[in-house]
Amino acid sequence: MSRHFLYATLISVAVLFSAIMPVQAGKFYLSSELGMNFGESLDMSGSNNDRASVCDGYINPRYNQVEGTAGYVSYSCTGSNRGSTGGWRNGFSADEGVLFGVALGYLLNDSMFRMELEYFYRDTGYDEISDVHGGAGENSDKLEQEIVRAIDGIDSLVSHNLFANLYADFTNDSRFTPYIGIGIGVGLTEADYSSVWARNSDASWIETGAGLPNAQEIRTNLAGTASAAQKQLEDTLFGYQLVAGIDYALTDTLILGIKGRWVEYDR
Amino acid sequence: MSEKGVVWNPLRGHAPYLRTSEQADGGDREFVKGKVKLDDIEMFAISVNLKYRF
Repeated sequence: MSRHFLYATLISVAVLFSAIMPVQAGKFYLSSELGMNFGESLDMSGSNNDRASVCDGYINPRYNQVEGTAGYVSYSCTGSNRGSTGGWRNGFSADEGVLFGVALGYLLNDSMFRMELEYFYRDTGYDEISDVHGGAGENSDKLEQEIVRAIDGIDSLVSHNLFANLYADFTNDSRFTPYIGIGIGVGLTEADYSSVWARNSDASWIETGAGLPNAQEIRTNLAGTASAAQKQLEDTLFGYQLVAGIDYALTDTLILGIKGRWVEYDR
Repeated sequence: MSEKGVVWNPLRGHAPYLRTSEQADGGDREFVKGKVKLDDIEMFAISVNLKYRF
């Protein structure tokens, strides 16, 4: 509410200033914007080098004997590639948040086009935990045999974006000017990530180690353990956007508008 | 979007062990490291804007 009040106040002051001190409209413009962003659902894939539980020396003191046991000949408990095939997938639902930005633009001479350098900030409040599904390799075995719950979580996804845009204005006899635009740029993107894989506290529920001579010891050692991770994900992403909007000329120099955009980021 | 430096810290839920990340994978002080990747990130936005020409 206070942010909306601030924006309304700024608009009022700008209109008043423009009315009192009329200035010849030039080719440049400064703009500011405030709005909402709606982040699409996110697909996440993960991988790690966590070895199979039966190859974990803490869990299974006889881990170096596993490869010679029937049913485990394909396991790599002592080689350098142990834990090399583990992976999983997850997803997070769409969510929304605030967006604001500033831009410096220039109207190209005798044409309908204008160029713009734009900075905008977006904060999409995913703030969600999601159950892991689609495990592969060592992680698939753990999910099927011992994990009672595995979750990934992300907090808000935040990005600072710098884009170069090109717009086409469809001027007419009215004060309204529809426009469309395209842009390319980069987004410095961050999101806090966390993960917990919790094993059943009841060893009788765990199936890991079936066929090994010390299976009961393995299951007892596994019961009640959890694996956790926490990390801030950071990346600089390439992005492109499509923009459309409509402006209304309050005065010769001051323009109020509404703008919609679709942005996609990729590496 | 991806991150290669994720370190897993397995914790024993009961005595006597509390593993650290340096002991994460079986006692040979090998880190358990991972990578998570968020696929293409899309966003729609709608905003009110104010321009000043000069």
